[in-house]
Amino acid sequence: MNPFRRRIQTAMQSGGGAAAFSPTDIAGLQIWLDASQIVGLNDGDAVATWTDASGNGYNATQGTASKRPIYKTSILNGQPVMRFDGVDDFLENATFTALNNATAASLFIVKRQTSGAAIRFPFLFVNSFYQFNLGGGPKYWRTSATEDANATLDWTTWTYEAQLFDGSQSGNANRLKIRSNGSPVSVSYTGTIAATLGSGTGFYVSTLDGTLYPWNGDIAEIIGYSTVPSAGQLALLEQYLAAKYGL
Amino acid sequence: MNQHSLFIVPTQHKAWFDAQAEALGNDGPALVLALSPTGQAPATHGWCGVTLSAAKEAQVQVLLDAYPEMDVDWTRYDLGTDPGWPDQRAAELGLQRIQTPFT
Repeated sequence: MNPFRRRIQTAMQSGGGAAAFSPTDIAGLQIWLDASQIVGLNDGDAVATWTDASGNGYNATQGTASKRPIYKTSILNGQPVMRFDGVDDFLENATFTALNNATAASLFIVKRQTSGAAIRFPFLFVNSFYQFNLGGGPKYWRTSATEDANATLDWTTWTYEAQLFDGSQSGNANRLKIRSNGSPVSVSYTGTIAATLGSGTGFYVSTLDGTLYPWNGDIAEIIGYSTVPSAGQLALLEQYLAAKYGL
Repeated sequence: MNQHSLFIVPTQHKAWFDAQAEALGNDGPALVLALSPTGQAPATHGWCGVTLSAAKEAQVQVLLDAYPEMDVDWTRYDLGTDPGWPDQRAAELGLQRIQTPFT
């Protein structure tokens, strides 16, 4: 058995004998949006604020009632999710700048797209680091407007995905890696992945800009770092997500 | 729990719709101008998706009955089992989502 998997299972089975892994165990945690940590909401309630569990205060919010996603309980392995309608729902943060011009970053998302052959954005850091679905075909991950990593994946099933950027490496394949459900995926590239990310302010959940390309589906958890986890840390984090969501 | 509501409204009635939504407790512009017959800008219609309480649904029904000239198309659907309904309903009305080319 993978030693990291054993450690997590041991921690989960022991009832606290060993410290369970937390995303906070990895340095560089910038945002952690975790639907399972939301308190005080019932199934079907609209969500005004998805509190950032990283401790950095980068909450994702929506001030307009009609544009708020819905909190749904017991959707994936007993865990709750945020459900976005693909019409006008989105959340935003207007202050995040922690990845501006960063030389390393990583993003983990647990999600499922429920419909749509149109362009959809589950998540993006403005002008720097994001994912989108170009109309039901290849799924793209970007570090700027001219640099793509693209892969053909099925986003209509539940997956946890990792987008790992390390600008200190040489070559596209080393600089931007994509993983799905704990395994690397085949990626093709457009342009040259630069050594640093772009810069912007804020992030969006479920849209490009507050209007365009709203995400239609569920998002359970988003974790973002200003670092790239080591192989051991990556294994721990992916096993944490796999165990939590039964994937 | 109530079903999700989808409103599709002609662009020229956006101000009216937003004002009515605000009067019902929405705290910002409700209608997103995102639809046209060709899928190209400019938008001829906007839409709004929201889950309303039973009381709010009753208020909406009274409002729409009073203003049929606003041509508001109101349908309800299950967001979990019928997530493709917004695009399907738009198509039934001869509309489609505007897809600004993304590069």
